[in-house]
Amino acid sequence: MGSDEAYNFVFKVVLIGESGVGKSNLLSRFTKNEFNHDSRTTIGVEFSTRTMELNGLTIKAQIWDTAGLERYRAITSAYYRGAVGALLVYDISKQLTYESAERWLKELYDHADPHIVVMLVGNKSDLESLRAVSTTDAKDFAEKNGLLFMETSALESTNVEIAFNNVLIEIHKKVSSKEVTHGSISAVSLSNTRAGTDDTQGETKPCCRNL
Amino acid sequence: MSLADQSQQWYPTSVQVTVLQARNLRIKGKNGTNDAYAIIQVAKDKFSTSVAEKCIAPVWKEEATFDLPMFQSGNAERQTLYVVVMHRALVGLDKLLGQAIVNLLDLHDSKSRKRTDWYKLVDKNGKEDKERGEVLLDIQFMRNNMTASMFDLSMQDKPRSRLSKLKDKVRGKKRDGLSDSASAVVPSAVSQVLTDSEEEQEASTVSPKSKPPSKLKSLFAPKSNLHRGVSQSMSTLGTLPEKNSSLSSSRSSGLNVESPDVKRKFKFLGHKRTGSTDSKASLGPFSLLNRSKQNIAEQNNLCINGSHVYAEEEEPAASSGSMLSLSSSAKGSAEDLRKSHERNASDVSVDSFKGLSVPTYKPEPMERAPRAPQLSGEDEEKKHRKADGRLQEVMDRQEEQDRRRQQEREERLRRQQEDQEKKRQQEEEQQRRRGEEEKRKTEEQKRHEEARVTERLSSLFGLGKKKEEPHSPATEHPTHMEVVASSNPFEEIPLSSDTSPYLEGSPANPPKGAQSSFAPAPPSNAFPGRTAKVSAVKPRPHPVKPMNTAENQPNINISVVKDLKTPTIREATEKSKTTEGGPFTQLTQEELITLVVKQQAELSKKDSKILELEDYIDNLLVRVIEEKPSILLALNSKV
Repeated sequence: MGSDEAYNFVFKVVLIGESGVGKSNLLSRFTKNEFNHDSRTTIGVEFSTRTMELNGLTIKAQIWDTAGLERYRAITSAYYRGAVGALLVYDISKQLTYESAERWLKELYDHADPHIVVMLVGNKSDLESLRAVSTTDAKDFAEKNGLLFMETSALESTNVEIAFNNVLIEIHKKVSSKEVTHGSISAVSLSNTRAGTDDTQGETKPCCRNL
Repeated sequence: MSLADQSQQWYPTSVQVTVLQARNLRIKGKNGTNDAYAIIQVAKDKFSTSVAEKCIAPVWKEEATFDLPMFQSGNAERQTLYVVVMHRALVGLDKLLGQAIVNLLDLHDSKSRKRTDWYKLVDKNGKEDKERGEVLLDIQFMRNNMTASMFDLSMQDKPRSRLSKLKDKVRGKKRDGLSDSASAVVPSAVSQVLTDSEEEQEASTVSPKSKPPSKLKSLFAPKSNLHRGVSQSMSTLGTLPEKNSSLSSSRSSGLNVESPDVKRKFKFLGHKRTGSTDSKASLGPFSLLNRSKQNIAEQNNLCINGSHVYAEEEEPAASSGSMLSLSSSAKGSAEDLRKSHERNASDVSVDSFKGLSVPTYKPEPMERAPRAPQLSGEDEEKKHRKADGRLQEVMDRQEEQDRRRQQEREERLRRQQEDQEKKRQQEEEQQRRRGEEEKRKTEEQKRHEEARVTERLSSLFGLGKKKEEPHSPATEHPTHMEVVASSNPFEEIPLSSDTSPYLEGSPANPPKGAQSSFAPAPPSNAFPGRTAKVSAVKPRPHPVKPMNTAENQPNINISVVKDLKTPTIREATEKSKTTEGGPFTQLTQEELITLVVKQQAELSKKDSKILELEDYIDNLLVRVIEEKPSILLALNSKV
């Protein structure tokens, strides 16, 4: 793909949320435009990337996906490290997955950068008839906690693109702003040779960090 | 004389507790139901009922009898009845739903009490913490009305093997089967049974002094209630002569004869029976009574296995069984009892006959029937003759003993012991029976093969049959073979002996493994209805499983118990291997618990292994993430 040759930023975004809410399908919908009806529980950790243009900048979204972790694992901190964005996913048809959002949020803030951009994502909006979490409730919760909010359907491909885009845009905003630049948040690039190749943007350097 | 009166004059020597049902229980199980069972305890004796699964108002109708040594000594703990209602948890400890605590001394003193009453459940400390519901208990105090002859018998019993005693039990059960669906299988047996138990009840309620006369009376009055009962039940099924009953009962009792002692005993019993009323002498009337109640369930099972026809009648049968005991307890007098019993008996028998319905009596049984009855018939006559002399003897002794008994406490104690032993026997019986049931089920599938086996059995166990041959040599017609045949001949076969006859008897028998599929019988057996019933068998009033058998059993018994147990377990395991349906349905609770515990241990082992692996992978992942995250790029995804 041509775009992976040149990009201004690499943003690490993590997917979190209870098991079975559709994190992996959100990811595959966004990165591959695929949906797997009988996907299994995610084991281990993996990420996918998608490069996109935002405001004339090439941004590589590196989206990490793992199983809904139920206990602290050694991987937890590694998983969050360097993430500049997070999608906290719940299933709108399962109240419990929504109720655990708070717990996830706490874990996120325990391990990730405090300036991380977080979006609360109510997935499976196609299951309107089974809805157990009202949009307003979720929205209120998101506002209260300073989260972005969106309802999506990985199945119907509703709002998936928009959700990720919004997160990336928000991250970019933060990265671009001076305060953030000097703050702890940073865009992440992988330690590959290409990282610097297209570093025409001055802002890229200060916020790039080699892992 | 009523029981109540008796208890004023005599201390009760035992108490019979029937746990009928519970209501308004707290719900601890899944789906808003409980898997409830009750533990019945007096002093150190503990019994557990079966588990009433998935219900909110469990019905057990199971009873246990406890000895009450030194009932008036004021030893409170020993005279307190605990009925602890538990929920069986699949995992972890069973949960307490509540317990009823009954001071038997107080209860005994209170003349106004109802025999059957609801008792409130309290918490484990005996406090009323919250609404826990209540349990319906039938509590009756009893004396061991043992007569001299009984005493003698008990002496005779001593040297006998445990097993043989068990067999006696079996026999007792058979007779009791009366009210039962068993009647459908062996219609004549029903009538016989009726009469027997009637007698027993009578005997039990009659005061010691009045006993001998009544006995004699009945002896010399051939047209006693007993006969009435017979005729009543017979009326519906005119074709079945009394003969049958004797045959069938003899069959049941006759099996398993092993030691000479046993034989003697059997003879004795059979003789008495012929004499008509004297069943008292053979065994403690109360124990018989109890047994009759308790055994109904098993009997039902038998019937069910033997033929699908009867399963339906379980309900009425069971209720009548309990009614019997209730009525006996409620009404002290022999007269009342007799009446009520008769009433019940006739009702039941009518019911069962109805249920029998001609079409269900298939020609199939007839074919195999013929030989066994003949054999037993001849023998029975001989037996009968021998037994006559014996009866006289017994009666004399009995009278003597009656007199003595009232003053000699020692003897009472002895009797208690005997009672205990009987109880134990019952328990063992049950265990054995379980094994037998399994066997039987498998056999159903080969019913067509049974004819041969029957023959074999009859020759094998011919002795036992002889003894039992009751009333009438005159009734000895081959007419009733079908009845005999329909009563599953395997019912009474001891575990040890039954395997071989089966194998030999039925060449068509599939390999052991296939046989043992017990739960849902394969449709191939041509009795689809029956199979359904088998699985639907409900716990019935039957002897409650002891929780501490080993504790109070003589050493001899223990070894026997083991013997009995091993085959059962072996079979069970065999089954679990071969059956798809419910590999665990035949396991006892203890076995199941062991199994669960084992599996839990295994699981937790695996869990910890999984955790270890997870940790290992996590650590690897962490290193990957830190060193070369690109490795984790999802497959197929473009960079």
